[in-house]
Amino acid sequence: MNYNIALLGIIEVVSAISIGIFILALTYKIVQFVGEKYYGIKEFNHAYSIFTAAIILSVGLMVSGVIQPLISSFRLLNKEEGTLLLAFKYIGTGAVYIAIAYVAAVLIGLISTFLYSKLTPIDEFEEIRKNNIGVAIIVSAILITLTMLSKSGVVMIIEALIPYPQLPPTGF
Amino acid sequence: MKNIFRTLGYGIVIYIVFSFLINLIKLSKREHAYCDEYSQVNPFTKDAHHFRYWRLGDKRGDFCTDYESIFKLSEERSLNRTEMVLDEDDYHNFWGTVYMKLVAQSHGDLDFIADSLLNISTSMGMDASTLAELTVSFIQDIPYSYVLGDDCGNRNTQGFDCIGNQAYGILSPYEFLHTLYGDCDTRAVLLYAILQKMNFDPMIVVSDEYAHAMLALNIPSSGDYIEHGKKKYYFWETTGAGWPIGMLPPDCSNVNYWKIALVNEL
Repeated sequence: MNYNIALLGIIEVVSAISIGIFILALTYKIVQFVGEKYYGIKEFNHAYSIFTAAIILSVGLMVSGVIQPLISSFRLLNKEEGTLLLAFKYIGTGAVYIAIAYVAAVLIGLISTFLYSKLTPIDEFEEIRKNNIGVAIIVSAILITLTMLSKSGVVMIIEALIPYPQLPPTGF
Repeated sequence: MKNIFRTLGYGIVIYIVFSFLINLIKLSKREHAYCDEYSQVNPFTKDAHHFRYWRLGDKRGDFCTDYESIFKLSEERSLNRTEMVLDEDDYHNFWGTVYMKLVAQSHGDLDFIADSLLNISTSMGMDASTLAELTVSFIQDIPYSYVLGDDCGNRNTQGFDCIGNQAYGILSPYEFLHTLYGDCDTRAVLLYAILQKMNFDPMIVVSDEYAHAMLALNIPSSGDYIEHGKKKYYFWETTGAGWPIGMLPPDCSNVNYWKIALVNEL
């Protein structure tokens, strides 16, 4: 058994679970808060549940792109001498990457719902509040599609922050 | 307030877990050595004596070795390279054939360096992955130089050393060890030959799009890889120090642009 690879795998699993729990709980709370404060949705109906699930899936998809760059950063940060400093830097790096992905996911969510509401004559949130499942499914599909389309770009932005070693200009 | 404490507690638990895991990785640290890095060239025979000092990418160890290289043998390999006749016109096959011939010509030339690295590995009780890392980091540590088929004057070398008018724009493994001039494919060929001698399963990959060549190695690892015969060969950048296995540089990270040039099919 390769000891270091196993440890790297455990670090990846622990990172994914801790990021997942934190991000999903935060998203759920925000959606609950926004729904209640701005749209008066106190109890989740089916339509709002579908919409909430789409937001969570969208955020999850976007933030999942952080794991690989984070592990790459860890492998490069591993040059640092102290364990506690390295753990601190790793968590700090993770926080920055997650923040970027999270902000991107929120922006995409806002833009997609805003664009869709401008394209159609109906008020989508009013329809979701009234438990219009059809509208909820369509808005959710737009949200997830836009997230999938923009994910690689966001991952590329995060990758630009990885402290890669210097390379000479290549060429045969 | 309760939520803030809960979040803080969650953060502290995560911090402790990561510190513990990182500490486990750090436990595998090894002894450090230090020596000067220089080369002595005999003015009459032009034979060289190289003293090398390098470290693993994650600073798990510093290592020293020295070796002597013979000018006449280097010249002979240079002549062999110049006399190579190739009729391949496909890009990957062409480079694959060049690399294969260079590896075949260097048979027996590289025993001294493979033995030296194996001795270090045995004395420190390294596993196979660390031996591969030791070997690749030894080559990564040698500063990059351009090796061109035409004159160096035609190229902006951006401050890097350049050796021009070399057949196929590459040096053979022994020439590289003698001169310490090596570009991407020169390094990849030398590493392929040494790792093969050590019974590893290496591969050389080339990319027309990125105008670059790289080593790939079939060992248990993580990250970017190219699949061949149900086996995973992890990319390994060799032109700069500190690049770990399975990490493609961001400027050449599209795996689809990398093609296999040379692999041991047995």
